[in-house]
Amino acid sequence: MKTANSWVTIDDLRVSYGPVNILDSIRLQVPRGSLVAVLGPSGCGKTTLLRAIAGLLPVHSGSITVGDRVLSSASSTVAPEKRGMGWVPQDASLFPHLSVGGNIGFGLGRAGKSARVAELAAIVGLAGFEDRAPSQLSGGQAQRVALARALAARPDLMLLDEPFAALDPLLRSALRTEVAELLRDQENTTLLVTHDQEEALSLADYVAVMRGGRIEQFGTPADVYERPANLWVAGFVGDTVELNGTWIAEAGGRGHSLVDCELGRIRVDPAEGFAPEAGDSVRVMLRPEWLRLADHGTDARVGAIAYAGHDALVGLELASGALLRARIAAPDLPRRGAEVTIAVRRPAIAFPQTSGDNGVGINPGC
Amino acid sequence: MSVSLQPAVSTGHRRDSRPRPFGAPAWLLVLAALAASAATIPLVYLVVRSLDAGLTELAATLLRPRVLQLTLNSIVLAAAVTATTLLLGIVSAWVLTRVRMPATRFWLLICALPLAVPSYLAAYGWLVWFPTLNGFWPSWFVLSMVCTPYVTLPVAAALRGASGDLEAVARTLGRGPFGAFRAATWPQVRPAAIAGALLVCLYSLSDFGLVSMLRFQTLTWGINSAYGSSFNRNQAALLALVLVVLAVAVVVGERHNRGRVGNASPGRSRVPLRRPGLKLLPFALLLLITPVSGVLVPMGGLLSRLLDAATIRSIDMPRLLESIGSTLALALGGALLAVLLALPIAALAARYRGRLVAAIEAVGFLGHALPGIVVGLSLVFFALAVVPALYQSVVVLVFAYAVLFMPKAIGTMRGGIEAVPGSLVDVSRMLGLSPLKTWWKVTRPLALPAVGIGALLVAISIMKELPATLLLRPTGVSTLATELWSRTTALEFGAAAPYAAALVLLAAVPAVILSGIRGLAKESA
Repeated sequence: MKTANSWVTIDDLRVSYGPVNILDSIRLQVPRGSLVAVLGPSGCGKTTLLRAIAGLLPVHSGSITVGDRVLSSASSTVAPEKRGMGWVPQDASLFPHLSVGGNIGFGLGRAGKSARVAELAAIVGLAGFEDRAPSQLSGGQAQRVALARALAARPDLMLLDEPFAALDPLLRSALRTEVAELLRDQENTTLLVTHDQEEALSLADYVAVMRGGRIEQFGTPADVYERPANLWVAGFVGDTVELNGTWIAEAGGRGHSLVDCELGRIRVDPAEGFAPEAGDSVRVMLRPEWLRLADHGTDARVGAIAYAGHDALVGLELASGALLRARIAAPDLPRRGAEVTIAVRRPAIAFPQTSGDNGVGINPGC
Repeated sequence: MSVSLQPAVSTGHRRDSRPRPFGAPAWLLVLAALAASAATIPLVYLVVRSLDAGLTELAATLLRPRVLQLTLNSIVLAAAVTATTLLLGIVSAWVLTRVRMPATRFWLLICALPLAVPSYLAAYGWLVWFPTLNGFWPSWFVLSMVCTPYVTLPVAAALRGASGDLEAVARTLGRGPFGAFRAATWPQVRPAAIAGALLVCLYSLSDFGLVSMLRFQTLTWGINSAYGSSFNRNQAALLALVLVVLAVAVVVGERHNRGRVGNASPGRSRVPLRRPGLKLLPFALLLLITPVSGVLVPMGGLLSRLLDAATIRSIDMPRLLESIGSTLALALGGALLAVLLALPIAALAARYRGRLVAAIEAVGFLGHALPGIVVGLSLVFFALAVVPALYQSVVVLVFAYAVLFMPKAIGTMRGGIEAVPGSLVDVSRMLGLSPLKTWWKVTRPLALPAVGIGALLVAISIMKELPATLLLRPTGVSTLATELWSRTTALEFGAAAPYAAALVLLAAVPAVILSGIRGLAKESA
């Protein structure tokens, strides 16, 4: 993603610990005022990336630039306290010996301190809590204080390290929506690290998907979900249905290509940078919700149904014996054992055939 | 040794275990290395001094029957006391944690009490009742009574932490109650028992006051008497070297046998407590053995002498006050120096990892394994040879205290600094505070209680210290411990009583209170 108004620029960054590269050739450009989620499984290096940006880790090559200041390079590291960044760690990390007000005002100078503290307490919905001790706060309140504390000095860049991971699920979704809106109101540029794909897709303007110390894909949430760069990204950000297919050269309707697979001849787009030729064997990826029950299409028998209220994942066995899953809206659910006909809503994505993949598969995620 | 137990089994749990690829700052490494190297002076100088005597004299001295006898006595006493305390301590710990007793806290407290009583004070108390006590058996008995808590307390803690699930599983797989304990729980408790045994063994090897009062001739006694007959200082040095070799052998052996317990998924369930009913009595009697013999009988003897009309009439008040004053002043000076030396080592060990850091910390703990009399003797030689102006001055004595008790300060302060999460430090840096300011505004206020407790522990230990004080005190200066010792060895039990009482009030009582506070803090944490 080449944006002209890049605010944070990370160029060819490498961080190693001993002989192991924890981060390798990281390139990332964060537009000013946007919320970027760094999404990856645990151990992919996303927290290391955040700590390197914060200046809590030295980098071994490459550079980190905010605005026109080079903050980290192989030869020099600007100290964390001189970077003007806000940091919200996973466990809130409030200073236990200071009150809520003392925590929020920790990084502020004397002048105008109390007014700013009161203002921030109000912004995060904790007006009147200034004299409380951190031990008297709930988990959600503690995270709000940590957020206010980081916002207090009007940082150039906010760094959020899985700030909602320790909260219970109900509170988590409520608080993260609220926090995302608050950060947008403050016109902050924000980097959010998370391993939760729903969190990343629902909150962020852009998502960087990381794996093994590298960025696999950078794009809008819709880009990442609907046009994943590879099958791993596809499986990591959501459920997939994978089939083997044969590429047909002729173009389908509306500029899409066609592929022959166990669902018949369906419309398909090649993954970015992939240019197959007629007759090539390709791997076809669909999302379960791209399948629908239809009057005309492929015959299938309904297998196990995982009911989730609003919809259900329905296991389907094709005549060929292949198994796949479709997400069907709850009111239309067929019964187990029923014979149905399925069709595809929109073009699938074609990836290069990977060795060892045979037949139809259901990607379990990472 | 004091009431607090250094957790020889590392239970340290770092909340932020991420690697910190910024290495330790050079200035901190240098400071810590300097502080640690101060702790090596006694050992290094002892070796140098012994080798000075020449290898032939070394061999000849070592093979003298007298030296062999002293060595054998030390080994037999240490082995007997260690075995006794292991047996009694493990059984006591089992009763404390597995039998439903009324007033659990009370039993735990009285089982810890003997730790607060220095061995020579217990020996004095027994001598008051039975002035003819002498030799191996009384030494073995009184020392065992005083040392048992070193095993009881860590083993009880380990038993309380041990998962009941494993034992229950072993029972369902066909083991009997004892078999299940042995197969499932003992491996979880073993490291604590061995660590406790190490402390007991070191304590017994390095004990001087008790064996000299009960006239059982061990290496420490031999060192003191060889030093006293001032023409034979080479022999004192060689005996000290033998003692150090024994102590090092014990420490190495413990490291070898400690074993490791993986923290395999700690189960939540507890072993159901036994309701003893009428069988309560033997359990209670068992628990009472050590507090009665280690505390009650000696304190009774002390009180009976103290309240004796003849004693009260003959108290030399100015002299008593003077030794109280010098005891307190020495304790304060020693504690300050120990904390000062320990601070960089503790700060380094709490925040950084690596071979160099581990080595510096291990050297700082050297005083833990060195008997007081060895440190005293070695510093006498060192002062005479290197800084004669300071010989027989308070400076050398305070330095000896710092070397001996630095491990206590390192242990508590390291724990206190480590308990300040690294993420708080990171957050403070991100909010614009420099490392130094962060230390002042975040780490210091949070770690201060631990520093205070470390200093207090050191001060209490110094007040109870005897052998190094005897060797290094300036002429005319006497502490409560030295007065008690010299009067008791002269069989003046009445004259010794006020000093013993003052020592109990100044050192033993604060030790009990402190351990109570720490115990409570640990339980509520």
